[in-house]
Amino acid sequence: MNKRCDILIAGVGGQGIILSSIILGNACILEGLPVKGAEVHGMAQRGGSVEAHIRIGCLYGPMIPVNSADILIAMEPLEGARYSYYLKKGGIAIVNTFQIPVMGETYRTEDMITIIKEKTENIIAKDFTSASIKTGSIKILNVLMLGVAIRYTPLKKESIEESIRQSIRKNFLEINLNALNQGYNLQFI
Amino acid sequence: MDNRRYLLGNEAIAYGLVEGNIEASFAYPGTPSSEITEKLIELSRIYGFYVEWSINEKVAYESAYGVSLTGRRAAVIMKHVGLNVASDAFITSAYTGVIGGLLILVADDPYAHSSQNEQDSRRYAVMGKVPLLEPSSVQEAKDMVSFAFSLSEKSGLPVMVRSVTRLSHSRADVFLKEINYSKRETSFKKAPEKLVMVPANARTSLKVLNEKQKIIREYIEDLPYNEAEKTPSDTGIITAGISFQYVKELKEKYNIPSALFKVGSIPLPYKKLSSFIKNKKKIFVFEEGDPVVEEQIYIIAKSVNPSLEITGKMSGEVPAEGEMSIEIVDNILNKKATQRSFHPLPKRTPVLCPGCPHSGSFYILKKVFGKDAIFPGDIGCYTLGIQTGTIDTCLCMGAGIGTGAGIARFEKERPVVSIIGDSTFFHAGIPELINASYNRADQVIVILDNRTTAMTGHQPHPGVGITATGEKTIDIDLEKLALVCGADKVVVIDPYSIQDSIKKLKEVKDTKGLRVIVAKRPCIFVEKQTGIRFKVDKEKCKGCKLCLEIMCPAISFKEGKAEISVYCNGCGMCAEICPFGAIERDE
Repeated sequence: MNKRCDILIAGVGGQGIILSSIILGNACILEGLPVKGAEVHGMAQRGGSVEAHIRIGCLYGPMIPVNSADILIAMEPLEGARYSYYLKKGGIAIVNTFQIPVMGETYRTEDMITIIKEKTENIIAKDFTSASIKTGSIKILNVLMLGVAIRYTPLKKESIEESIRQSIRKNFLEINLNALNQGYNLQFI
Repeated sequence: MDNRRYLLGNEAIAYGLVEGNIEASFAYPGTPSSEITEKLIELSRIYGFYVEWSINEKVAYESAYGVSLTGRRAAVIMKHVGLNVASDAFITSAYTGVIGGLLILVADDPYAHSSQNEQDSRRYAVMGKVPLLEPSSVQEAKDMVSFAFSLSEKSGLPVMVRSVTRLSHSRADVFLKEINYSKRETSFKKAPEKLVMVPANARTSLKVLNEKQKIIREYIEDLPYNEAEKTPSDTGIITAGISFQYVKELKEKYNIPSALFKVGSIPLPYKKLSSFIKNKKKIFVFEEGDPVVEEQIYIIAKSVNPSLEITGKMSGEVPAEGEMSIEIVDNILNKKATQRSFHPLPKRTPVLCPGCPHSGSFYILKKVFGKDAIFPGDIGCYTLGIQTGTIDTCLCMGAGIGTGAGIARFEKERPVVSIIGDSTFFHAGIPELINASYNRADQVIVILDNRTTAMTGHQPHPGVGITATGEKTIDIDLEKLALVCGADKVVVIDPYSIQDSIKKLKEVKDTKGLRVIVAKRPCIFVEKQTGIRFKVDKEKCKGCKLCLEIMCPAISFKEGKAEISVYCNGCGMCAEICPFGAIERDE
């Protein structure tokens, strides 16, 4: 059974990317799968472009090779385009269309999607930021998008829920589990 | 119980230290090393060992050395450039040797993700003549650290363990051992001939240190971390550190038949490597940083296989800068370039957070001291002031004040305004300030006091009144300290109060002498958020773009008008500088 799945999460520092990767990693532990991951800390993280690698079923290094990610979770469209070179042909791209502007620059979300399209037609693009604000808070964007991704990973939804229970403080638990389900129940492709 | 956990490399290292019965740990925060101590703080609550954030790596090193002299196991933890600070103590500690196991955990930063350089710490191990271990995976990092204590006690030397960003900041499923934690009942024994490095003792100690090298080399031959694969092939691959994983993944993917040797130590296992390269035609060497292993392979090959073809950083095929990656290894082993699509996209460089008090300070300093002023800078979040033209130099911790003193000696007409953070000031700024006052520098020093060590993850420091483990402690007042150190004038401002601060600093500008400004306002991550947000009244906004001068990432322009995003932290600085009163609280 092939339980390998390379997931790249791209976005902007402060969007909760590291927490997403911890939730996925702990879910692998719960399912008894090997897992590796890589992330960015420190200066690079201050509002800069951020990537996290999660390699489910991986026995080797933490970095996903170029052109081989099964799933790209882009929490911002420009960052999605920037890191789309990691995506394998025909992989899944889950893209938040809500922009976080870069000072002194402008770009069109449609152009970013066009870049991602060079790698795959399997794109789920939506304003997940507004969706998460509607669900209760901008802070749950990461978990909401994780919810969208679940069905394309070898992981069970229950494992991710359990993992969230382990990594998120009680006060925020309900809103996060709710966000995960919101994401999970969106049907696109 | 399943003891498999998903851990950050640095967290795994912390567990390794506890498995090895650490009794005290000392560190100054620095990316990519900080989370080792963060995890130790958590674990110390269970096992009761001592953990501190020291004010700098030199003090940290000496304290850990002191613990070792009482016969207990200690660690000192730092980023690569921290070892420069600790190097004075480090080099001579190898002369005296250690009693309890002493580990130096150094996290290098190839590609300088979060650093001012890419120096390779292994050079220090060679210079200091101490053994160094380098793990190739997160699991191995944990196991190696625990083992390194016994290597230190067996050799009587401090032992270095080198990590890199891609190890410290990678995560993996790690098997933890059951921890049988115990403390020692030992005490300091006087041995001045060994411990007091006066010249006569230093000369004999060097001899002892040199003799220890033979013992280390023998010990290293049998180390389980130096491993050769028994594949018959005339091509060999030698890896040190995380590159091992890249080669393993490619070997599996392409069925590469070359023999693989994993190096886990400096010095190298000369005997094992001699027999590995003896009958090979070609060797590839993959390692992070300088060609430290590769140089040694040339030396070994000279006696056992002089015609050996060696591919690595010295031959030019492997890039000499940046970090290793699976693509680099793939391109060299398989002689094919990975196709990587490229689009010219707007760069998103790191920026100060919305509501960052540094943004206010930089705005104020620019308004007061003008474009002609020179701003020698330092290491911290505020190095991002490079974007506003308020950081003109950045070398190392504390350097802004010294650099400024030198510039001010000869730039008499231009204001010289050195910028330094609060934690950096405690780390390396105090002697700099005393030097400036002692030698009568005509200079302004701005201490950006955001009440934390922000860049590395908000660790406390001597100015905030709490220790690493959360106990209440002395709270050193920067204003008083600056006066005691000889500043002619000390002025405290609140960077959120823009106009008031500008007024105060204009007076500072018009005087001479050593002037210290303390810009005091907690980092947005330290103080609880108010939930207040600001918005733009589109009717009143004239599109003058003056609000952009605060460099807040929450402000952007759309159709000629300012717009404030949901990322606003409610500092209100933009509202204060808007000449049309167009920015107001979003009620």
